[in-house]
Amino acid sequence: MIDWRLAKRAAIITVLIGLVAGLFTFNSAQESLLHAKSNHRGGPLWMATQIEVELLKFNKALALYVAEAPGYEHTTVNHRFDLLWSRWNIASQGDAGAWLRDMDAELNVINDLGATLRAQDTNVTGLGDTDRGKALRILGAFYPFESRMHDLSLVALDVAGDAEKAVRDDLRRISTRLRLMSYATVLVAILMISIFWLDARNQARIADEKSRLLELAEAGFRAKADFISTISHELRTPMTAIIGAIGLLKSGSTGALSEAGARVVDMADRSGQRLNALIESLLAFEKFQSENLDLECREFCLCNFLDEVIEACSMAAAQKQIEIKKICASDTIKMYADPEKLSQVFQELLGNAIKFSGQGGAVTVRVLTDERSVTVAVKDNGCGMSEEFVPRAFDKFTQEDSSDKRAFSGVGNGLFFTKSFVHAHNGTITLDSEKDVGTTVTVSLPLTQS
Amino acid sequence: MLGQAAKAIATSAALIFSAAMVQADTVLTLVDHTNQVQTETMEMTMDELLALPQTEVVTGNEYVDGTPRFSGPLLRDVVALIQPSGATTVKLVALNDYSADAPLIEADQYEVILAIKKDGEFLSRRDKGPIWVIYPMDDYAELNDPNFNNRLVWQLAKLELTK
Repeated sequence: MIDWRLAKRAAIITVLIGLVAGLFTFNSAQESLLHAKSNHRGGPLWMATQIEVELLKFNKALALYVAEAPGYEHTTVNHRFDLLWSRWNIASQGDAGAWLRDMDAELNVINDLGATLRAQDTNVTGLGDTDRGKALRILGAFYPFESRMHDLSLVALDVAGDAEKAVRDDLRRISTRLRLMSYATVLVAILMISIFWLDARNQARIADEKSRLLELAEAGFRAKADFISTISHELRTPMTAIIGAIGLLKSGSTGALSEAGARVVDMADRSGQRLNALIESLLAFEKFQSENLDLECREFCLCNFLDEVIEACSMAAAQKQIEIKKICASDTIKMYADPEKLSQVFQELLGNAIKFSGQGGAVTVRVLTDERSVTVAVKDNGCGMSEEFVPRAFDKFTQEDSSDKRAFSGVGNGLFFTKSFVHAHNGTITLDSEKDVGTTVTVSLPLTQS
Repeated sequence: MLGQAAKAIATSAALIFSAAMVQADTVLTLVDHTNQVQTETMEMTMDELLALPQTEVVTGNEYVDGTPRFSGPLLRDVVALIQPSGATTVKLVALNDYSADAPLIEADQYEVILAIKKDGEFLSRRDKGPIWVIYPMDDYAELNDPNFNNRLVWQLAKLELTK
């Protein structure tokens, strides 16, 4: 099994190393080229050639002066002498001159030429218009330097050739390295492309597999939902008949029951009612799943609306002698919402408050409002919830006590529906509960739906 | 004896006269090629170069021992005399026709001088004179490059300005 992430990282690191190495190599190549350039001006070959050329020019000027050639006066000779001296001066100073002086260690031309320049200085500067003999003597002093300087130039040429060869070798080595690096980079690039291609193919296969599994899961979920829906519907019809039959038995329409028979019928009635409630809950959940949460809003008075909800719950409350107290800051609170959905919300909250309150408990509905929203808090002093359960209270199919022996009926979807309906109204719902003290559920809703 | 004295006086007079002549001779020619209609030319004597503000640059380079004290007018001051319009490059031409091109912006960036004195003495033609282009190599690390070495043109004779 290939670790794709590791392979990609390795490929990227290899390319980065290649780039850095390439950068250093280019830098090295640049240095080599600069070194080669340093041979141009001030290098030993350049310097030797300069002196040789100026020596030849000076000697030529002297010869033509002796030959009385037109334009070759003693001033011309002096000019060429100065230039020859200046070139010798360059070779005798500084780091640049040191290169040539080192090469001249055996031939000793530079030193000798310097000595001759100094020795002949007075003679050259003292040349008059017709000092041909003196000029010939000067020429005699400088002429031997022509071959000696040429020898020095050849030595410098060899040295420069060696330097050029070294640079060429450097460049060849660098170009070989670059070529190898290019091959390596191409290889790595091909490797990377292959890795990415294989990875992409792998990812596509995984995505297909996920998609297939999702479809299977959805189909399974739909089948389960359809099954629950169908079974619930199928159960409800005979259940209605069973409850009706038990009702007839209890009412005595079919004749008086013995005491034991009445107990059995009561038990059957309670279980039947419980089963019926369960079927209704399952159907309600199925309906909720299949329907969207489109609101059918209209304007109504929340106070009157809450009175109706309380009225609807009053029978259940009366059975447990629970008083539902409504505290409302105003008699008229106009709001624009879906009354059907909100009715389910508050019936659920009041139903829970009654269900989880003990005999003779108290349930309070407190309504607060401002210009833009209304807050309805339903408070009971019932059994409350544990601290651990509170965060899961709004989940579907969730009850704190889900055992077979639990005291309260239901499938645990009520608060899930409630939260969904409140959120559909752009509202919020919070729950505050303490075990054996009571529970307060607070719903905040905007007065209008924008 | 008298003859020798007369000869000495005559030689001294000739030297003085010769020096005066040197001062009056053209040592630098400025050529402005930026004007498309007409090429402007200006000739300068040593006196004229000395009349410009003198700048001192203490620096070494590959062609000298140690770090001499060079002095002379700034290249930018000399170029400004001919008032080139939009010139970007100056060609530095030596007596032996060696030349090197330098971007004119360098004359503003660095204290480039046309050195006419080294350690207080006039540069002779025998020692890279009478004018040597000097970059302050020791003051700027980036100047220690063969390209700038090539611009240290000695025996400078001509400045040619182009766009």
